[in-house]
Amino acid sequence: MVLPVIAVVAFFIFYPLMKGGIIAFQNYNLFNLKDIRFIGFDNFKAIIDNKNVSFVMILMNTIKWTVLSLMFQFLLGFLLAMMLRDPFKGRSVYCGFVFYPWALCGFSIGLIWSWLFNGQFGVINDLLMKAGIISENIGWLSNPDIAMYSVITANVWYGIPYFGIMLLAALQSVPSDLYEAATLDGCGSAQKLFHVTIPYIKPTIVSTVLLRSMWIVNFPDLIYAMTNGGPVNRTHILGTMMINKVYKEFDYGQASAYGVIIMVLLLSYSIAYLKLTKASEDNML
Amino acid sequence: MSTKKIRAISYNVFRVFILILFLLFAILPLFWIFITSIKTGEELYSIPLVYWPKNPTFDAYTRLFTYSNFKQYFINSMSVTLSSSLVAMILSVMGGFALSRFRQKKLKGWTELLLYFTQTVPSFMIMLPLFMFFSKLKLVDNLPVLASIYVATVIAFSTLMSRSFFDRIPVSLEEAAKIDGCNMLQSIVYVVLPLTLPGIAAIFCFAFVNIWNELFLAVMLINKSSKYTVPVALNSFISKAGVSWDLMSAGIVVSLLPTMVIFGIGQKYIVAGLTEGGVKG
Amino acid sequence: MKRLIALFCTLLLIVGAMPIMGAVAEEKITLTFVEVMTSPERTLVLEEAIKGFEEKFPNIEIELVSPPYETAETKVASMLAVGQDVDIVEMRDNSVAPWINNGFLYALDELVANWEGKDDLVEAALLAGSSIGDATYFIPQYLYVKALMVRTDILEKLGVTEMPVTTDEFLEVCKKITDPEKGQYAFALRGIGAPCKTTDVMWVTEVPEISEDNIYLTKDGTFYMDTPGGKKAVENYYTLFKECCPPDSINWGFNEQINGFVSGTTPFLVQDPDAVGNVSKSLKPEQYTAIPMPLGDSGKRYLDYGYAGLAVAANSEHPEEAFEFIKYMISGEVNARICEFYGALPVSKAAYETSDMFKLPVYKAWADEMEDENTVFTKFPLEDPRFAEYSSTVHLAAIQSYLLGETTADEFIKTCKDFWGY
Repeated sequence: MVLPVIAVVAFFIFYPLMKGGIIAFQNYNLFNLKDIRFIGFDNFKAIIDNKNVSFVMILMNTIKWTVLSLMFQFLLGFLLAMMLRDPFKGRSVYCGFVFYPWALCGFSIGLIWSWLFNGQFGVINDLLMKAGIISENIGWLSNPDIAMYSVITANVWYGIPYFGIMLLAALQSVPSDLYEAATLDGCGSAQKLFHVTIPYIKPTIVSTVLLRSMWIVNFPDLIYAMTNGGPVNRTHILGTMMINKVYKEFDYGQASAYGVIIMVLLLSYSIAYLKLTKASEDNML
Repeated sequence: MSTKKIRAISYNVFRVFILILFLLFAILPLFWIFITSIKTGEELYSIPLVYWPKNPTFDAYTRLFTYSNFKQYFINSMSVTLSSSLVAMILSVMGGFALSRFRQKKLKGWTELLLYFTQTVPSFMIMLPLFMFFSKLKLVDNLPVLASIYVATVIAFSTLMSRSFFDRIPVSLEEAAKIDGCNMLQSIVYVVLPLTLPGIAAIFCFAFVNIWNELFLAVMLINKSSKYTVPVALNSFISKAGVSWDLMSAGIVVSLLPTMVIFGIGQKYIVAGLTEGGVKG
Repeated sequence: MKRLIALFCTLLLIVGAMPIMGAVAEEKITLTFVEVMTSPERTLVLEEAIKGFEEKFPNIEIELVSPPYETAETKVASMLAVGQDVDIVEMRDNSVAPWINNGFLYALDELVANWEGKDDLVEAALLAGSSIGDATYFIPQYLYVKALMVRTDILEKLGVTEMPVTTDEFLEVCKKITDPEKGQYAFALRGIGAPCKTTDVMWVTEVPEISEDNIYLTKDGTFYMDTPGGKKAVENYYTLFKECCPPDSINWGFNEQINGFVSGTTPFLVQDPDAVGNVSKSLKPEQYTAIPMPLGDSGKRYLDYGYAGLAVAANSEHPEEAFEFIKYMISGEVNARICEFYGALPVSKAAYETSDMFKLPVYKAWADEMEDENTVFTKFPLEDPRFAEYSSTVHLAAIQSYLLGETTADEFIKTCKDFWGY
């Protein structure tokens, strides 16, 4: 019964993945396809030793991107879920509207937000100016120190629905007798939150956070559409470097090397994460 | 008024306030894009910014369906997304059920790890090998092939999801059905499936949204513009002169509609399906 | 449940039947033509031209493939690499070298030799066509040459009546008219999208004796930035950005440059003639013109001729018919119509006669610049595989870093020099 799934995954993902992995070790550049040869770890060395684009900076960017996006997506999603927990009239309709950002493709979201953050014609600058909060247009996407936060904002906008839905479902599944028992024991709302709610939905939190963080690392589409890694490479993450290696420098070898680095990172991260949270297999989503 | 009542009221006020904030945060960008799509060319790049166009025009939408063949792209996206979502749904339901009922813990564990592993794979790594493989078979520029690849991209997560749904249905239900005279298939179809319908609907929605929005694989594997899917078409509104904002904003609004509808209807099921302990007894 | 299965099977059948419905029996020859400078409007212009061709040659059918602009060249390279059925490809100067290097393109020398129409081409065209590789692998459709576009009306309002001729004059004028409080700046900086294509042309004029084979080197092999003139140019550019450009322009691409020019915020713009196509939609001809690139200390201006054109795929089954299509596209009227859409300079001399657009005064300015005695043509090292990385990544980050004050001029020059190893 489970064979079809395995077969599909093996054929369409693992087989190409192996080939892709091999390319990471080859000199595979569209400039000279006659010269495809095995070059061992040279691609990786080139990436890590790159004098012009610091590998450490890209790693830091990737971590910043993932951690901050995840944090705000989770916290705001949790807040939203808490607000939605008790049913009210028209809740379904409201949900339909507030959850829709997740239905957009990453590329469109990047474009929409780059238009909102536009230095000259962007709504955000205009509204802030009109409200008197700023006196000069802010370069949301052209200021190297701010650009990453602008991109993260767009990602948070996109990711809140995911956590909102997941956590709402989890919150709704907490049996009300647990709350009654807690009230009888004299718990206030804050204590209820931390001692009843959160422990009960912990398995859900653990698995959604893990998956979401992996998906965020592999979500360069948004950054690609908004800043393509600029300015001065300050919004480049591993994923966007990979895209650029393909489309701007025609170098599939290094692009695949980036892919391998991403996968190794994610694998080590998930293993560490799972060990830390000691989530049992039965509770995973 | 008792403090309890005051607290209750202020909590509700707080709640409404937060909910409105969230709604504004979600809706405003879309609203702005919609406004952009009904502006005229000069109003797009005028300073000061135009907040409500003097002569709103649906010109961009007309051009969307005449200049660029958007209706065709819509149909392409629909057929690819529907068929691959359905196939993924069916396969993952089968696989999830099997995984859930698997006795051997070790094999089950390894299979799940395998499925989790696929979530670490960036689509760019498999893009070129897939392209080369299917080119050799002369199967590039082929929507059914693209659909099959899409099935593979979503099936891992869908299977994991469906497994957790089936986990929540006690095996005793199937056993009870068997005692009542059903065979394996009947017990699944008539007893288990109806209980997990919200979950299955949820899987379908996830798959639909993810596949509808996929860009890079489609760009690589589809050549003829008549076979474009919607994200590729949107991407094609970017030229040397930058983004054609009139077409792009209209395109975004139009392409949002089906996913919004599916998602709007579906999110009820997704929430219901994911609510643990939703099955009583 | 049964209904679900039935619905599912029907869907599968429908989807599966699509490719069958697409295949049509052919008696004619079908050529596949892939464009790379895709935009929705341009595709329509091309389809119109194709229709005209198909009327002239009823036994040939042209199928147009239009990949999205940003990823088109990689797409075409991949298509050629795996040997897909492609006959005519559009190529751009900065991406054609790999295709030639890999033997993807058909050598056109024989076909060109038998082509009477070739005398109608401007000289630069055929020179460009054979500039990469050891044969003629492509025919340019249009040429790009940089000039300095100016908003004469805005400058008049600001009290500037004489156009700058030297780079020093240019910098002075820019400083004079910039007034950030009023939102008035001078120069539309190219911040992203291979800025070196603009900056190198602007800077190299300060250095004497630039080689005609490689804009980066002087005739005796020195890296041009590593000279006193080069350093002066680099430092002046920093001053230009800091004092005369909107701070946001560090992120400006083609679109933003055009907007800045059209809105009057930045009345000076260094661009190729295809900017005219965009600008003319919003401005009247009296409001702007183009002047030759300012002269630096060397007394000469060095221009590269960029181009985009058409080539035949090496494994095309119908190279002669493919070349017929190329001949058609490059002939007077067709070339004019396609170039009008872009505004880039046509390669066909006849196009200048037939088209009203190219009789505009702004184009005369370009012609004058190209024929000026102080203009020398050179080229970027496009065959060097490192140029892609340099222009799109290394130089981009380095110059942004420099303009933002994070590195010094010397560090910037060293980064560029070390990359090339000159």
